[in-house]
Formats: sequence, C-alpha cells, structure tokens
Amino acid sequence: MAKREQTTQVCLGHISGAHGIKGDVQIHSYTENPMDVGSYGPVSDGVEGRLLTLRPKRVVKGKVIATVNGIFDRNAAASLRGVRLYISRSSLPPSGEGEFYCDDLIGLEVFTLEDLPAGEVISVQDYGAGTILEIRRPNGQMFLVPFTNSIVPKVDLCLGQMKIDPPLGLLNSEFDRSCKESS
Amino acid sequence: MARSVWKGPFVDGYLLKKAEAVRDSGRKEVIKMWSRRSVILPQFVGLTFGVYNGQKFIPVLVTENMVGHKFGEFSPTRTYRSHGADKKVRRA
Repeated sequence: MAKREQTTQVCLGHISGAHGIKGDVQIHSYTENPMDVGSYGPVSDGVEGRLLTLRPKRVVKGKVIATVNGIFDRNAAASLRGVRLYISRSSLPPSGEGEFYCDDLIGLEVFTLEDLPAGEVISVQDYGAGTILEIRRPNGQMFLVPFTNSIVPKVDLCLGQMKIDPPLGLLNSEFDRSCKESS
Repeated sequence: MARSVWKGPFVDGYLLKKAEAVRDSGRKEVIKMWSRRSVILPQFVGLTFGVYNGQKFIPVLVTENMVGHKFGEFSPTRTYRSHGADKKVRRA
C-alpha cells in the first residue's frame, strides 16, 4: 500500500480582529495552551505565503493578544482580520510514545481485525470520558469508537490506517453480523 | 436541595440488570442506554455504555473517576467540534 501523504500544514488559529491602537491583534487560538500560538516560529497566512512573526502578550476573554511584526497601527491590524495562521507539520515537536497528534489521526483508513473496511476517521473528540474517534463508513453512516488499546489495537501512521476491534453493539447490527459471518 | 443520603444513588433498574448480565457473561459489549439521569456506580467500572444524546449513542468507557457522576455528563446533547492544531491524544 502506498505511503500516506501527511498533512503538510497545521492551522493554529485565526486573527479575529484588532486590539487597541498600537497594531495589536486578537487571535482565536486552536492550540492546547492558547499562548503556544506563537511558539512554533513564524506562521504563514496560507494563501499569499506571507510570513507573520507573532509575539503573544496575554489572554483576554479567551483571545490571545499579540503583536505582529511590521504592523504598527490599528488599520493595518484590522486588515488582518480573518487571516488563518498556519505552520508546517514538521515544525511540531515529535509526539511521545503512545501519543498521537489529532491531525495525524484524521483521515486514517479504518479496518476491522478481519481486514474489512470500516471507514475513515473524520474527527477526534473528547466529551470527558476519554478520546473518541468519529468514523465515517463507506456508505456515509457515522459511528463513534473509544480510542483505547483494546478497541483500537493498531495505529499505523505510515500506512495511513488503523485496525479496530469493535465490541458488539458499537456499530450497527448489520455490520456486526457481517463481521461475525466473515470471521 | 440535594438528594437525601438515606435514599442512596439513583439508578434505573433496567440498567443494573443489563450491566450485571454483561459483566456475568464476560462479553465485550456496548450497553445501549437511554437513562442519562442514572448515577455511575462502582460496579459499572470497566464496562462500556452507549449513552444516548437524543441523536446517537456516545460510547463511554467507565473509569473509577466517573463514579458518582451521571451518565448524561459524558454525552453532550449540543454539537461542539474542537480544533486539532497541536493537541495530542493518548490511547487509554
């Protein structure tokens, strides 16, 4: 199987507006720690290829207030509103053993232990009871799978696939039945 | 006002029976349930419940830290999608 093409860019947030009159901007940060939005080096705007160096100052009402190199007045800062901030995937530090970046898991193909295609990971959620993978089946139906060692025994990022061993009742009964018959 | 202690935690009867049956059989099975109001008891630890949120069943693997909370707390009824960015996850 061909090696999976990794996502080359990761979106760290977007500029939601200007702050004050000295050219500061408000950033809606998507990072785990909002202040980390500036800690991975210069960010690009994704379209024009312009590089912005951010210096985060503080967090106000959930938004990061930051200065941007070359922006010194409010009008220039306001013109950046809506700009999405990207870094290259290689700028992120390598994940630890047994850890995965959410972005790496999204798009993986999912197979059962019997090699039946079960779909594709479309999102990674956490509702307080551990990480949950949302998987879209080839017929468009969705189902949720807890991201545990027993249910997701194998994740292969290089091949772009993962194996799941869903307990009875997790998928719909039709799929459960087809898995049983094949095994 | 808080619930009287002498009553003990509230759990729907059908849920106790289902959980007991799955535990006794030793099968790996998701227990589909609609009782979001039921309290998580110590005997549920290690079982996986599919808690209905009005649209779908959210899988909840019960751990010790969840005891005393209600099932509905782990199955939100409103759509919320978080961004990935630099977030890391670990297999439990």
